[in-house]
Order: sequence, then C-alpha cells, then structure tokens
Amino acid sequence: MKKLLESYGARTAAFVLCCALALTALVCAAGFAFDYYEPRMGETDERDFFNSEMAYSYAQTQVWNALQRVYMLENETGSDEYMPPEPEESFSYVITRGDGTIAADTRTPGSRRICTETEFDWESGYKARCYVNLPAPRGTVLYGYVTLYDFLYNSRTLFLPVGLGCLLLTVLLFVFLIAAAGRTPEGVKLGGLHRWPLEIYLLLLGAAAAVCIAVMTEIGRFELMRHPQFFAVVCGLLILGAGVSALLGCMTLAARFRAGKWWRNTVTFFCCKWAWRLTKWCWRILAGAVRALRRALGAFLHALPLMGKTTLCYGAFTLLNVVLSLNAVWNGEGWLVLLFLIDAAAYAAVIWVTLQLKKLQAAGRALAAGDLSVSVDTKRMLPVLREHAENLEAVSLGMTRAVNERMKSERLKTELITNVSHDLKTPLTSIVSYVDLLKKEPIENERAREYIEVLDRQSQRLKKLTTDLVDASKASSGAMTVEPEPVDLCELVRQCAGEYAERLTLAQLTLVTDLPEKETVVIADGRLLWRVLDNLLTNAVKYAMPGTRVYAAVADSGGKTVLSLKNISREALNIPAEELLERFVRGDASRSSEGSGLGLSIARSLMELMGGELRLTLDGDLFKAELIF
Amino acid sequence: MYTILICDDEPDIRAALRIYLTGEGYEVLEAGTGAEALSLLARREIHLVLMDIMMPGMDGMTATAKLREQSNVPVILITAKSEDNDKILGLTVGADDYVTKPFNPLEVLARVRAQLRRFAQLGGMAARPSGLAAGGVVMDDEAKRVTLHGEEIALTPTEYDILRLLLRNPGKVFSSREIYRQVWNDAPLSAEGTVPVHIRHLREKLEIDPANPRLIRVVWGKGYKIEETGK
Repeated sequence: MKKLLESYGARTAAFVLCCALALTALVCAAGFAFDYYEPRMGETDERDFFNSEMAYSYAQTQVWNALQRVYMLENETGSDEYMPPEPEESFSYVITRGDGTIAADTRTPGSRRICTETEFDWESGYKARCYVNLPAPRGTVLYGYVTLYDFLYNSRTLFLPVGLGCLLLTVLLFVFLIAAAGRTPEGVKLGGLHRWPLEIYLLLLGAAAAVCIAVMTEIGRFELMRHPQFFAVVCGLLILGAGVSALLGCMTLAARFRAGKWWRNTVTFFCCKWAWRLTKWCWRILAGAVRALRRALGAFLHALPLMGKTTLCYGAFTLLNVVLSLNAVWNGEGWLVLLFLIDAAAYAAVIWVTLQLKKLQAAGRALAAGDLSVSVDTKRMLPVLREHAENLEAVSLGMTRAVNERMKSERLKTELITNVSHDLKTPLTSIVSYVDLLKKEPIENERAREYIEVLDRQSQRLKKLTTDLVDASKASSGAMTVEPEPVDLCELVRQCAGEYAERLTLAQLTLVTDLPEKETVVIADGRLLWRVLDNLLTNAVKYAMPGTRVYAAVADSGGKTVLSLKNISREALNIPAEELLERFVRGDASRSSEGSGLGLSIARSLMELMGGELRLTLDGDLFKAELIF
Repeated sequence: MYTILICDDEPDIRAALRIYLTGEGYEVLEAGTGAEALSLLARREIHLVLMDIMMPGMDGMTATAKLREQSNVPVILITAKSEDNDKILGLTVGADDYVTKPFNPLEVLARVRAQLRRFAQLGGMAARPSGLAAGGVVMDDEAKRVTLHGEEIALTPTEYDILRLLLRNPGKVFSSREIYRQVWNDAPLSAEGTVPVHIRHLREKLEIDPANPRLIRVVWGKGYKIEETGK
C-alpha cells in the first residue's frame, strides 16, 4: 500500500480516473435529476418532450426573439442597426396583441404546442404561444434538445446505479489521492506545484474553476451550442476543468499539511516574516541610536568634573524655578502647583543623596574601626558615590588579603620552626647523652675536662633554646590551645613561691608576697599562667641583684586585676622596656649567660593569648613586670 | 637480669642508651624499626621496651599498639614531640610511660628502673588492705611507712601528713589553705605559703622529674592533687 501511495504512475492513473468518474457521476446525477423533475413541468402527465423543462427553456429563448421582432415591426420602434433574428425554422409561434387579435402565426400542419405562454411586457399586452415541428432537422437547436431528451429518457433507469457507483469510486479515489499527496519514495517531500505559495496557487485554481463555471453559465448564448454533442463536450470539459482545479487544491492542501509547517510557504507568512524582520531591524536601529545617545550623554556627564555636575544640576533647578515663577506671575496661579511639585521632588532627591552619603559614612566608620568585611549596597546609587563605595570595598578587600597573608605566613613560620626543632631534637639527644658519657670517662687531661664542661653547658642551653623556640612561635601565632577557667592568683603566687623557694635562696633573694586576704579569681589557663610566671621568676633568679628582695603582689586597680613582680637588676638595664619584649633581645650583660632571650617574648604572647597583657616598667635598676587581666 | 629492647632508628642514640643500660647491669637488644622490634619480641624474652615514636615505616605508636595485642611488657615511649596530645595518645595506645627528646639519660634510667620494679611487683601490691597507694607509692599508715616501688622513702611528718591527705582523696584538688587547715589543724593566717614548699620537697622525693610531676600534680592557680589511677 505504501509503495502504491508513493508511485507516480498509480497516482496519475488515479487522478485521471477520478476526474473521469466524477464527470460520469455528474452526468448521471444530471440525468437522474432530469428524470426526477421533468414530468412536473407539463400541463399533462404525459412524459414527452413537450411537457419537459428542456422544451420550456428552448421555447423561452426562441420566442423572445419573435416577440421582439413582431413588436418592433408593428410599433416601428426598431432601429435599422438591430433587428432580432427570426427563430429557427422548426420553431413556430402565435402572437396576439393586447386586444386579442392575432399579429403573427407561423404554424404549419403538425406543429405541436409547448405548454408555455410568454408576455412581451405588461403594457403592450403582446403574448406569444410556442409550437414546434417535429422531427427537427439536424443542425437546429431543437434537434439537439430532442436528441438529448431522448437519450436521457431512454437511459433513465441507468443513472442512479451507475451514478452511485461512479460516486463511490470517485470518493475512494479521492481519498487515495489525498492520502498519497506529497508522498515520495524518499519520504514526505513537496515538489513542483506544491512549492508555489499557497495563496497564489489556490487563487489560480479558484480563478480557473470560476472561469469554467462562468463560461458554462453563459455558454447557451453562442451559436455553436446549437450542436448538442459539441455543447455536451464543451460543458463536460468546463466541469472537468473546475473539478480538476478543486481536486488539485485539495491535494496540495493535503500534501502541505502532511509535510508540516504548511503556513511557511504562504504569501501571508512571507509578508509577516519580512514585516517582523523589518520591525526588528528598525527596533535595533532605534535601540542603537538610543544607546548611543545615552552613552554620549553618560560620557559627557562622566567627563564633566564633579563641581560641573553639581553646578549643572543646581543651575537647571534654579532655571526651572525662575521660569515657573514667571509663568505663575503672567499665566496664573496654576503654575505654582507645578513649582511646588518640582521643589518637593528636588527635596526628595537631596534626601536620597544624603541617605547614600550616610551609608558611605557608616561603611567608612566601620572600616576605620577595623571591620574588614565592609560591603555597601551600590544598587541604585549615584555613579559618583558608587565609585566611592567601591573604593572603600577595595580598601577593605586589600586589607583583608594582607591580614590573611600575614596570618598564613605566620602559621607557616610556626610549622617550619616546629618541624625544624623536632629534627634538631634527635641529634641533640645524642649530643647530650654522649657529653654525659664523656664526663664519666676517666680523663686525666685537665683541659679536656674543662672543654667537656663547656660542651655540657652549651648543649643544655641548646636544649632549652629548642624548646623555647617552639613555644615562642606557637604562642605568638596562636597555635597553642588555651583552656580558660577560674584561677586564683593568690594561690598561683603561693605555688610559684613554693616552686622557687630553693632557687631564690640560692640566688640570695628574698621573696616578699603581698596578697589580699580573699581569693582573687581571674579567667585564665593556669598552666600557661605558670609558664609566664616561671619565665619571669627565672629572669629574676638570673638577673636580680643578690641580697635584694623580690616583691610579688596581687591587687585590683582600675577595674583590672594586676599581678606585679618587682626586682632590682644586678646590671644596669641599658635597653627600653618595649625592646625587652622582642624576641631574642637581652640586656648586654646577659648575652653571654644561659637562656634563649625568648622568655619575656613567650610570656607576653601567652598573656595575649589569654586575653591579658604583660607590661614591663624599668625605673633605674627597678625591673617591674605586671600581668594585667 | 632484665632484658631491655631499645627501638630507635638512630644508631647513635641506641648506642648511648645501650652504654647506660649495660652499665646498670641490664641486657640490651636493639631494633632499628618497629617491625624488627615486634619480631624480636616474638622470639626473645624481653622485660621492657624503649620505643621511639618517629621512625620510618611502622612508627612507635603503631608498634606499641601491635605489641599490646600479645604482651603486657612495660613500654616507655621516646618522643620528640612535646605536645600533650602525643603523650595522651601514646599512653592510650598502651605505653606505660614516656620521656621527651632531648632526654636526660639519668631520667631514662630512673624511669626504666621504676617500670621494672613495678612490673616485677605487680602481684604483691594490692595485698595490703589498709595501705593507701597510687602510681608506685604505697603508704602503710599503721607503720607510718611510705614506699616507692618497694623502696622506703624518708618523709618528714608534715610531708607525710600532706601525702596522706592527698592519697585519701585521689583526684580531688586541695588548695594550699585547705591543706594547711587540714594538716596543721589551724586557721591559715598567711602561713599557707609554706605548703607549696613542702609539696615541692615531697615531689622531689617521689618524682623522677620534679619539674614535670606525674603523681603529685600541680593544678596551677587552684592547688594540688594526686592523679587518680585507673582502678
């Protein structure tokens, strides 16, 4: 079936067959209609030509000429140019005047009346009766009518079955053609006439059909139509033409619907498309122009210095005010309302700008206070102010980056120091152990023993130094864990005093404590606080003048709790207190003795980690360290 | 005659420790890696292990954990890391004690001795019902005697009283004032400053490293306590 649908031969055959069958069906229908209606026209029930519609229409066309002719001859109204022709010879007539007298009688024996009477017009009263003579000679119109009538009459029983059969086949073929329309072996593809724009094609087809039908209705007037066979053939061809046009129309519609997007190949669509493109193009041009204008305006405003912009705004505002005031003076108070409205709008604009300035002020203040996460909502801001806001954000971003980088490098440094000191510890262990072993060897040489002493002392110092180094880097980078809890400073001082009792005695120092009677609790990490005091007391033992006192006191001062430690330095302190807190800084006198120079730095870092402060004061030889919470 | 296994990837440190330990009369075996140590442990009778943490291949922690699956021989970790976390992890994994690098050889010897004594006397300790004990320290309150790993320690009466107070309340923190009040039976009128000195002396007598006490802990800014042993 698919192959059949796609075959050109089958389709062409079907097309031809369809047209032929449709024509046949039409002929049959006409015949059937004739057979069905014809008897009702006559005065008698006899079924013959004289009672038929056919005879009636024949008589009408013939008698009209005769009536006109007679009337013109008798009333001399005819002109020389035009005289209707005589009816053909087999047609005869009787024309009576208004008063009943006979004006013309062309009857011959054997004439038979046709059941019709024609009046010329209502006023003149001329009437005609029609007669025909049979048999009609060949070549007359009457002959054609009679032959046709005979044919129709003789084959009247065949029309219904043959007509229905043809109709059925026509419908089937029509369906086939519709189904096949547009199909090709390569799939649904439109070719040939289907490519024509739909409206033009349909219009052409419609025009063809219309011409055919119009010609058909007018065909009776022509002399040629006296020959019934010729008439029938021409009629058939015209009907065929109209039918083929209709069929082609249906087929192209079917093919186009099948191919989809049928509207694309129409003049309407084409016009719409081009109209759309034109609109778009125009729009683009227009938008481009608007954009260019805006850009030019923007560039102008941008190039204008801030003072110029302000002046321009204010100038425009003033000008508007003046113009409206003058208008109000000359043209009535109505203009005052507009003036008022414009002033209100100006006030709103000023408030708007002020609000933006306020936002910027807040951001600037936050930035100054050290809040690095400054962000200003720059949406709907004046370009000038937006630029300022963006600058503020850039500053905060830069600062954040710098801080982050610094923290990162600090962390990396701590990691490096920790790792390096771990690696240092292993060889150091060997050194310490072997120096100890050397010390136990029986060495006679006095100098060698001295050297070993030095080795021992320095390796111990190195040991302390590595530990301090790790602590210092951890404390300063905050990598140390702090567990804050309530700590009694008095108890801490007592504990420290206990720990250092022997060492202080050995250094000929007396510790004097001044503690309040009740507990003095601060929130700190006791372990770290001990490290702080440990470092401070170590320094005291190392650098305090023998025979003096070391004072330790806990007191409240100005809402803060202060633990102070005072001692008299053995050597003159020749560097500022601030520098003492730096890493690896020691007084000149202590440079050669043991210690890492990190003690105070670690102490300060630890205090900061716990949220406290370490303050050093040097007053002559008085060294004072204060732990402030 | 005890056999001690030294496990360290540094030959010099192994040699130094060997000298010290053989000098004390111990038999010494050496292992360069954790795996070697484990195989030696399987083959020989060993009474104590000195284990370095940072070693290539299997580290000391892993080796200790493996070792603990089969044996309860005392293990002393040698660590270069001074972070508390490492110590805690080491002890959790099954080590009995630790020394940090760079160590004092004498401290190592003392810890070895203490562990061996404790290991040897494990059975006899719990037998005395009236005795107070913690971490190798045993107090016989009737005889007024204190022993550390079986050796008698001479304490002054004040030190003895303080130790008894702490031993009776393991894990509890006593401030200097409380200790004074309980031991001296008197109000601490600025005299409690002597308590830390006594405790310091006590630590010097009982601890191997008095600066880093393992038994009598200093809770800075709060007081003192005896570590609760896992009973």
